[in-house]
Order: sequence, then structure tokens, then C-alpha cells
Amino acid sequence: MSTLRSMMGAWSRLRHIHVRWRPWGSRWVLLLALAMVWELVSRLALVDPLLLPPFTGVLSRGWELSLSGRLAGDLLASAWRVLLGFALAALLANPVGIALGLYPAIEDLMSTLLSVLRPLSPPAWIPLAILWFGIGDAPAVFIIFVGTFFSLVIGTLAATKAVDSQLIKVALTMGASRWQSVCHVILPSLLPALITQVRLGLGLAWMCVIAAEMVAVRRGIGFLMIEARNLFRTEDVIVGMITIGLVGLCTDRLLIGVERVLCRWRAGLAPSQLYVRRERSP
Amino acid sequence: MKSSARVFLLAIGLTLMMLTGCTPPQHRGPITIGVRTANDHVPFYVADRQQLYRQRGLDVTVRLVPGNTEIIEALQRGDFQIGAVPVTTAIAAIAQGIPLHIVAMTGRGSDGLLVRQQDGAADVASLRGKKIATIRASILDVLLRYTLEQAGLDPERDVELVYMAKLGDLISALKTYQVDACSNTEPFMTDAERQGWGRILTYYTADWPDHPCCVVVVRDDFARQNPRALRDILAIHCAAVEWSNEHLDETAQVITDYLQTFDPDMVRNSLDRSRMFIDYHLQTEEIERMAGLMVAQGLISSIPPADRLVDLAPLSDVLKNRP
Repeated sequence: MSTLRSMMGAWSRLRHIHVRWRPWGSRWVLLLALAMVWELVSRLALVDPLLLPPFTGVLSRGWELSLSGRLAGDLLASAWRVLLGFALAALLANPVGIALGLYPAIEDLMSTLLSVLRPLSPPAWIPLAILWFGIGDAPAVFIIFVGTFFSLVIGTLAATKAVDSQLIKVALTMGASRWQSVCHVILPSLLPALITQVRLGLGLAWMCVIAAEMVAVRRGIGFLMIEARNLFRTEDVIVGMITIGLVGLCTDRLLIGVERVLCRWRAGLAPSQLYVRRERSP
Repeated sequence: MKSSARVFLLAIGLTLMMLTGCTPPQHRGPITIGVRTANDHVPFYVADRQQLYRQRGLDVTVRLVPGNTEIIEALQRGDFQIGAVPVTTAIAAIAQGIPLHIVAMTGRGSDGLLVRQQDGAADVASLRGKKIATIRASILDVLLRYTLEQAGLDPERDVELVYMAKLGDLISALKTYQVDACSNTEPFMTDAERQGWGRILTYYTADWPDHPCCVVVVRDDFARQNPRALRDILAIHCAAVEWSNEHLDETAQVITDYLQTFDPDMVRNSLDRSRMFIDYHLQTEEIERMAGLMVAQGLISSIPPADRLVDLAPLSDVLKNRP
């Protein structure tokens, strides 16, 4: 009887593990399937391997670049530029976005300027970046800054406008000053949206890195990819793409964790969870 | 069906859909030649302008492309059958196994070092400790490093090389005092002199007289399947080169029309024999010498065999059968 009970216990534990890790399993199955198909079509010459080198060839090239220390050096150089450019953009864009959301007069004043500057792609800023900041890291950081700043402003502006006005009214009625209502009502309400902004913005910053590293730098993932393209080393280009993708994945997971900690009060309020709860309730 | 199996099938379907766009098509119909906006690509502009292809019964489109890499990528995909690119770009592509051959030259010389008129260096050796802008892994980079070495400078230690992406960025950086010199090409260098702010410090021909600059490359399958069309195109190329050299004023006007930037007088100056010259003659040794420089500079791992780099037969046929 006890053997049966322990077997049941083990089965229940296995089921728990299976249910808990199933979403991860599906994700990895998708990636694994893509890698297998990629390898097959390249190995069977369904696609010219010069246009799409085999997945294992790319992995082996990535390993070589890692062992030589080139990949780590380039990654660090790019990460530094991305973090600096993005941090400056976030520090400036969030207060600007909140101010625009709170004061319609300022929004009216700025909206045309924002609409004109926002669509300019990062490479369009390269000539000015060189003229204004010279050569080296500064223009690269500027290009990442300018590539993320306007999207962050627009996102924060929209989030500020979406804050429940009743909450602000209640705070003001209860004697809160304007500054207190910003600190104790608006900012906490904005927090989830701001973290989403950071997630999207960091992705955008990594998207700008290639344009940024076209300007007078000698290290960086973007530089590695540009050099590889000039020399037709397709494997190196794909290694650079995969590296940026993996870094994006890791930072995104990290930020989701940060969001869970900082926005604990929202636990259980997500629409999907509400739906699931309602479906499950008798 | 289990969800993971569904995901697997979906992945296969999506991947196959994406990859069907990667297979180079078999060549049928019109021939496309990819060229860039540069002085030594003018034989193709001339042939296009004078409708020399049509007169020979060839359906040829000359397509202007902004960058050398894009020309090779289009050749690789099969969108172009023939292209004109710098010799280093062609060698790098062939070294990576792209099925192309160099079949003719388009120009020699034309690349050099540009400094500012006022405070620029007196000679190459006096660039020690200075910042020099170049485009990584390009012909401007390979020849710059070679020239620095000839002047007794180590490109990695004695100067600071600054890498940029476009010719225009090199000029901007020099003009605005971000760098002390830049590697560049014609007609941009003559234009800088004419504007009064730039001075040509040296042409790379000083260390390698008449070095190869741009070459004509052809897809191997096109050359195999269409030997006659290739010979006709090379014959037209030779005729256009000769016409260009005999009619430098008109050639300058054609370049101006295609580049839509400069004035004909300036372009005419840049075509001077002391700066560059348009040519079709090709020697395997000079291509191998350039490949040797690229190996020494770590851009390719080894010199590809001569028969992989160059196919002299079509051009020899053309020259043999000329009246």
C-alpha cells in the first residue's frame, strides 16, 4: 500500500513538473524544429549554403569567435553603448512624456516637433552625429539615444493619459498637493507601463546598434556584422544576429522578473488571469 | 494532435516558406549588370547611353547600385549576372566560395589619401600618430595599409585607423577636423581639392603603379550557359573603354549625368591620366598580388587558386577576334 502511495506521489510530482515546464518545452520545440529544418535544407542543398550556411556551421563559427574572445569583447562594447544610450533616453524621455501627458498645452506645443523627428531612422542621424560628437563612442551612443528617445516619449505620454483620473481627483480632494499626486498616484499607476516601455525600448536600442556602429568604432556586434558583410562571411553575420537575439531574450526575461517584483500589487489582475479564473470557477 | 507536434509542423511550414525565397533562379531572359556610381564604371554607362547592347541584339539592363556588397549579394542571388566591383570585394567574395570569376578590368588607380589644405601632412610618413578614416575591408583600406607600410608606418600602432561606412562619411569627418586624413577615391578627391579645403596627399599608384581598382565579375553559371552573350558584353566593354579614353570630355559628361552630383569640368579633371585610367586589360598576377595583400592583412585566410579567381579566356577570345 505504501509503495502504491509513494508511486502516486512520484507521478503527481512528475505531472506538476510537466505542467509547470510545458510552455518552456513548446518554445524550445519550436526553436529546435526551426534549427533542424534550417540544417536540413542547407545540408541537402535545397538552398545554396552560401546564401544560408548550415545551422551547425553557424554554431561552430560562433564557438570559434567565443574562444578567440572576439565575441565577448564585441558584445561588451555594444552592451555598454546600448545601456548608456538607452539610460540617457529613458532618463529624459519619461519626465518629458509625463509632463506632456499632464499638461495639454505643452503637448500641443511639442506634438508637431515629435511627429517630425520620430520617423527619422537612426542611420539618418549619422552625418549629424559625426559633426556634433566627433568620432568614437559618443556618436554611437547618440544614435542609440535618438533611436529610442521619441518612442519612449510617445509611450510614456500615452500611459500618462491613460491613468485613471478618478484616482487623481480622490487624491487632490483628500488634500494631496500636485507633486504628491504625481508621486503617490500617477507614478505608481505608470510603473507597469514604464517597465513595458523599458522592455520595448531596450529591444529598440539593440535594433539601433548596427546603425550606431557604422560610425567610427572598432569593436561591437554591429561592427562585427558590418565587417563580416563586407567580407561575405555569412556565418559571422548570423552569429551576430543570434547574439543580439539572445541578449534581447535575457534582458527581456530579467525585466519581466523585475516587473513581477515591483508590481506585485497587480498579481491576479492581468486580464488573461481573470479570464482563466472565471473559466475555472464553478 | 499534440500541441508540440502542431508547433513542429508549423515551424517546418514557415521555414520552407521563408527559404523558398533564398534559392537563386535559373537565368532566363534579360541580363542585368550591377554597377556603382564611380568614375571607372563609366564604360557601362557609355554602353547603356549609346545603346551598344541593343545594337548587338542583347537585352541588357545596367542597374546603378549604391554599394559594392549589394552588387555581390545580388549576383549571389542571381538577380544580376554581371557586376563591376572593386577588386578586393571580388576577391573576398570568391574566397568565400561565391561562384564568380573576374573576367576584365574597368579601371586602374583613382584611390588615394586626402588631407586638409591648410594643416594637412606633408607626406605619408608624417601621418605618424594621426587619425586616418577608411572603410574596413574595402580596397581603400587594403591600399591605405599597404601605402602606410611602404612609408615605414605600422597601420595598427603608428596611426589610428577610424572605420566608417560610406565615402561621404569619410569626407565629412576630414572636413570637420574629426580625422587628419582619409582614404578616398575619384572624383571625390578632385572635388575636395576644387572646393578648396582638401589636398590629395598621394595616390596609391605611387607605391603600386596602375594598381587594379574595379573589375568585371560574372556568375559562373551564366558564363557557362551563355558564353556568346558574355563575349558580346566584353566586346562592348572593350569598345566603351576605348571610346571613354578617346573622348574624355564626353565621358565626363556621361559620368555627371549618371552620378547627378558633380560638374563636368571637375569630373574631367579627375579623369586625368595622372589620377586614374579606364582599362579592360587583366593579368592574373596583379589579382593574386592584391589577394596576397588581403591575406597579409587578415581579410582572407589564403589566396584562392588562380583558376578560381580569374577567367581570362572570354576576354582573350574577344581581343583575338577584334578587327
